Amino acid sequence: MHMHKYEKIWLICGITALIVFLAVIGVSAFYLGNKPPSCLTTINPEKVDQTAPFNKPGLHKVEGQEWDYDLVIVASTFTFNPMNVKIPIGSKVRIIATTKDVVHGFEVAGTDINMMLEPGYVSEYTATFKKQGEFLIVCNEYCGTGHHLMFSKIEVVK
Amino acid sequence: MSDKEQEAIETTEEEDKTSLQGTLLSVFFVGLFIVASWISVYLLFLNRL
Repeated sequence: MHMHKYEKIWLICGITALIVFLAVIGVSAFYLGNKPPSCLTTINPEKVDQTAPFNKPGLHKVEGQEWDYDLVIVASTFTFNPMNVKIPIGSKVRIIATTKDVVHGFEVAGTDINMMLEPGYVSEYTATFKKQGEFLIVCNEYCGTGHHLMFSKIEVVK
Repeated sequence: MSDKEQEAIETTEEEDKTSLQGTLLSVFFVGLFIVASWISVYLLFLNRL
């Protein structure tokens, strides 16, 4: 098949981009162990309040892990429990969250923390809080009439 | 060689000689824009907490 030299050049560019992106996904998943926030961890949505760790929402210090704190969040229409969290600056926090009823969103505005909370599933995300200040947690999945009132706050303190 | 055959050969040669330099440049221009947006989105991801 005859192909123009320039056509070969941009085909090589395109194929290289494809290979690079596939490699990035492969390395990220299989070598670095990255996974989506909700990954196969399930919970009975009717018994969230009785199931550990969701029976004690809030910030808990953990030992012997890669992260310093567990932040346990329970979402329900139309609140996040707890409403206000104080996190020491520079700490690495594993956020574990679930919902008791419908699908909710969990977004810490202005950061990379953004996940969907689905009934029956546990979502988790690990983040390091390097910046001091107040961060707003919002629900970004329409969950009902009180959706716009559903927010919470993280205070990163010294 | 008949006139028609001669014409066919000329047409093929002309197509081969067609310059694609402008096309290559335009494609690279679009490509650079796409790559720049990937990089800026990645930097945004790294800078936000």
